[in-house]
Amino acid sequence: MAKTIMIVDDSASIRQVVGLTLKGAGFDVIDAIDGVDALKKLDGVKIHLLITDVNMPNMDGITLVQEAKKLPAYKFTPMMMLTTEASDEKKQAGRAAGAKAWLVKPFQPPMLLAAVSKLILP
Amino acid sequence: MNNKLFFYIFPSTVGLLMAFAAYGLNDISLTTGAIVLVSLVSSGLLVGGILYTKLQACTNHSRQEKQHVVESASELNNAASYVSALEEVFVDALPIVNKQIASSRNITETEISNLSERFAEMTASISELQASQQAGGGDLVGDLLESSKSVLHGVIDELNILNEAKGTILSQVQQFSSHTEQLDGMAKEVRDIADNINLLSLNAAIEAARAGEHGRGFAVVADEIRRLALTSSDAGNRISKTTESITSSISSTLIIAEKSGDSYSDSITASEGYIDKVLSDIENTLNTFKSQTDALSQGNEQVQTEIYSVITALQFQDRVTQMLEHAEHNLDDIKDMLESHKPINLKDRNAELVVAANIVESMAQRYTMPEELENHNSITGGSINVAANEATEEDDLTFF
Repeated sequence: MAKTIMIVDDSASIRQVVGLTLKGAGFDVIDAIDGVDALKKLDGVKIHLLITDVNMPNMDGITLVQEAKKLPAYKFTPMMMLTTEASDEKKQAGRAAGAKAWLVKPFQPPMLLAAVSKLILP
Repeated sequence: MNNKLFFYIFPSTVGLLMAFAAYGLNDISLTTGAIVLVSLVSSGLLVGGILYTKLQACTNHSRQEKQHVVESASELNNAASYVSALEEVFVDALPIVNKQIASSRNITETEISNLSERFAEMTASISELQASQQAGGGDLVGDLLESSKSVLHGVIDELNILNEAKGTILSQVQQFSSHTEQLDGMAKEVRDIADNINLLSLNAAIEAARAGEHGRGFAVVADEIRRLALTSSDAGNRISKTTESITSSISSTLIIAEKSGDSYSDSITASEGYIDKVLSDIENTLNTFKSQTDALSQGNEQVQTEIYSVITALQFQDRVTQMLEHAEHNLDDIKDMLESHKPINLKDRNAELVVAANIVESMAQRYTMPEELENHNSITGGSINVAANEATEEDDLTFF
């Protein structure tokens, strides 16, 4: 059974290219346009990985990770930041929120898939 | 002119009065008094001239200063109106520029999004095609070839088994043929025995006749034995004829069977050749098909690499969008600042309201990408946090 990954980004094109890469590798993908939309769509739905942008309207990615980690269903779900931000300060904020990896956009699809396969437990 | 007369007459009059006073109050000669008079009047005229010249210089300077003040006030008014107009331009123009940037950003995002969607559909189609090619090629070709070989060689094996079975039957028939010769021999023996019995019956009949009345009964027996011998001889002849007929039939059958056997073997050999030829053709065709499928698979790998390149390239739209958003917000900040200054009277405004360095610094705070900082620094000549924001290839992926 295919693993499910949620991708959260306010850019439609990013959601599409990430979805394209992940679906091509056999994953099921759920889209969300920002942190609020993501929390609404999660609602207990089983996901194996959450990939989120950092800078988004309504709720940013770091807050989303913090909030999702508070929910029992997602306490142990691996989460990865996918963003144009590359500063150590932001990365440390992501780590403190509970993210397990940080990938800078634009990403190389093989690199994204390598990160995903490392984060998702078999 | 009046001033000039005043400045010359007043000091000379004072000198004249002082000369008269000196002459009246002092006991001096008329000549001395005249000298004093001339000296004092001359001094008065000289002092008056100097004072007049000074006054003229002051007046001219004052007039020039007044003119300068008037001109400066005019320039100040012009500058104030220019600043106000400039402020209006910024407040009016910045939203327009922002609107254009936002519109461009939205159009680009929408179109890139559509492009990504079409691209995703194309990629899905390519993947399906690739999957179907792989399903139709690869090991399936080899399996089909092996399966065909197995079936067709199985047919040949069956035919060979049938051929061998036929050979066994012919062998059995040939053995049967040798049995008919034995039968013919046995029929001959029957005929010989019948002849001997017939001869014995003749001798018995002769002996019976010689015995007379006593041998009459024996003659009857001898006669019966002779008929029996004749019947046996007839039976032996019929057996021989039948055996001969059977032998003839078997010989004909063997000849035909051997001929057909040779033809059958030839047919099987020819069939084997045809089957090998057909299998060879199938193998060649399948190998050609397989090599084409392999080439297509390699082509698909190249397509996959190209797809990855496009996926990476499409993401630059996101970076451009963010840069435009930051530019929009920075322009908005400048507009908001200018609008906040509008209620302040012009005479109360000063340079502290607009500190360019602070504005530029706050613009830099909004940046998230190294390119933005590099662009910023290339204009300002600064080096704000570039090192901290620069990501190397190795920094692209970080695990915590």
